[in-house]
Amino acid sequence: MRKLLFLLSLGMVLLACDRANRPYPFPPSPLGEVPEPEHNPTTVYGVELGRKLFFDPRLSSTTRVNCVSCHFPVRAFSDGRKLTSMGVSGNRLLRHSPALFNLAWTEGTFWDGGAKNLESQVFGPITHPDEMGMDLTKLTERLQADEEYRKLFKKAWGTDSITTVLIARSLAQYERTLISDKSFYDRVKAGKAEGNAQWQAGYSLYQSHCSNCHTEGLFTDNCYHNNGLDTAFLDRRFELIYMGRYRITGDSTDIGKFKTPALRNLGFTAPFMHDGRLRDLDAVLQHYNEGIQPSATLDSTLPQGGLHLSKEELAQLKYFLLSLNDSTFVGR
Amino acid sequence: MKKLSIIFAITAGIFLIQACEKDKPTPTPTPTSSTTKMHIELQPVGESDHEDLVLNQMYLNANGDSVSFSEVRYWLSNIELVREDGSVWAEPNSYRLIERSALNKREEIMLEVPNGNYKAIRYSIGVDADHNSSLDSVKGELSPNVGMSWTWATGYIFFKSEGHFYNPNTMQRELWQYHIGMNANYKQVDLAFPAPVNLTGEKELHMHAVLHTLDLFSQPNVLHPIDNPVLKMMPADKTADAAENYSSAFELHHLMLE
Repeated sequence: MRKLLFLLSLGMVLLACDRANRPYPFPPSPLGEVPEPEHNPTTVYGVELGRKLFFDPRLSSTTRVNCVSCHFPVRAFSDGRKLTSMGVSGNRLLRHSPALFNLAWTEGTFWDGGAKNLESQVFGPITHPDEMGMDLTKLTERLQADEEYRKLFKKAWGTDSITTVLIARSLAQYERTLISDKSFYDRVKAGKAEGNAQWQAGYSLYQSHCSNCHTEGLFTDNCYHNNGLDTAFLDRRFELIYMGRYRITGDSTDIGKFKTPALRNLGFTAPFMHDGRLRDLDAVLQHYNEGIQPSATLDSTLPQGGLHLSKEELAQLKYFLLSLNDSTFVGR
Repeated sequence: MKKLSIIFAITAGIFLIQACEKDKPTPTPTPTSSTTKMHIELQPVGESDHEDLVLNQMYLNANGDSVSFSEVRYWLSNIELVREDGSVWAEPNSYRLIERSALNKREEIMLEVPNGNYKAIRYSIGVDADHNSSLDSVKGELSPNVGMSWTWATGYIFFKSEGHFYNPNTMQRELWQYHIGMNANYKQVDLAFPAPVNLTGEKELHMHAVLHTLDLFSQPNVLHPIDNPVLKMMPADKTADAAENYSSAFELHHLMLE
């Protein structure tokens, strides 16, 4: 009897555990506690569902394009292309696919910060005619017809009635788990490794010349800057897409400003800039060293004409920057 | 050991109940006689109060421009009824899509109002700042699926109307599109009742209001489609003009208890 009661109760607990969702156990991170919106706390089954959606080409009108088509995990979720044409239309996009990591700390996504949070951002690529080109009503119908999805939504959300809002929230949850914090730099900071002289020199150069915008830790200030790529931003086509943050705020002081990308994983995420114009890290260093173009909204912390570092200093800086690569994150 | 097992069983039971609790459907409140059904019809009209808007028909607006409408859609939100003593009843989760287009017509809504003496109605066109910062809200009818939001700049399109205008320079009919949104353009409409209405639950209240669609171009701000055929997020001064125009274009036509 005793045994039976015990087994019965154990069974009940197991059943309850299997059914009940629970908070996602984020591992402790030097980046701090992972921020989550109150209305969409990250859960184990939410993340599991989000991951499946992220890799599922049925999210696109042609069933051939998934999120991974432009965000390869082995490239820190970037795609190695200047401007991709992997979307359903085959048309070249107007901006470069950004790498995806540490998004939980991001305050606005897209190169101009137009999307205010991850939950809202996901509707952009899913519906864009040159990306996944999907009608949201069709998307819910398609997933609703799939028994496995009904089960996964039931597990994650307690309902098998699939909505676009739950799709968005699941994807956002998965994206929040893409945390990159295991670079050599992080090991040095944790006292588990020591940087050599070249690294130390590069670190100082970074601190004096880059950290204003690429704030240490996340290596981005989550803000928008004109980093001197062009002398003018006059092209108003495509709903002002070439004009940077101005497109969102309508404030002329934001013309030509784009979101600061994080400096982590540079070894995996070339080419660089919002339009992918700089093919590798050397080109980026060269731009800041001698290619900065003057314009009305050029960031005041950037010296006109460039940093003018020596060859040796550039090598030191590059050495440090590449120590921000997180090979664990990209599965290498 | 037996005691332990029992405690364990009880704990497990609680755990199980808790685990399943979220599956229970939340009971929908059944209307009682303490509330009154209120029907609101918001009819878009053309040249006069009585003339229903005909989609795609050319009208002459007050600026002398020939314009037509192919659709009029907007978020009607945060309905409030003002009691005689000035206190306010606010409908919870009050977000509805009102539309007149070739595909859909939805201009009549129904709400349950607590009984009382009311002197005015207030509602907003658009989505309040609290709910305009994310597209995953599940309040009322808010949805990213209905083409009334922007994905490249998070926010809802508060008021969307499109149609054609006659361009005398090209001698062609050309497209105009006003897609108005952004927090600064969130507008409240305030309509006073001609006389206070006492709701007792016995009779239903019918309210008929009209939207003077042609005022979109002229009251109080003059907008010529030829100058700005497309108003989306910019220019900000023109979108503000349009928001002021449509939000002041509602007129209470009549109220009836029956």
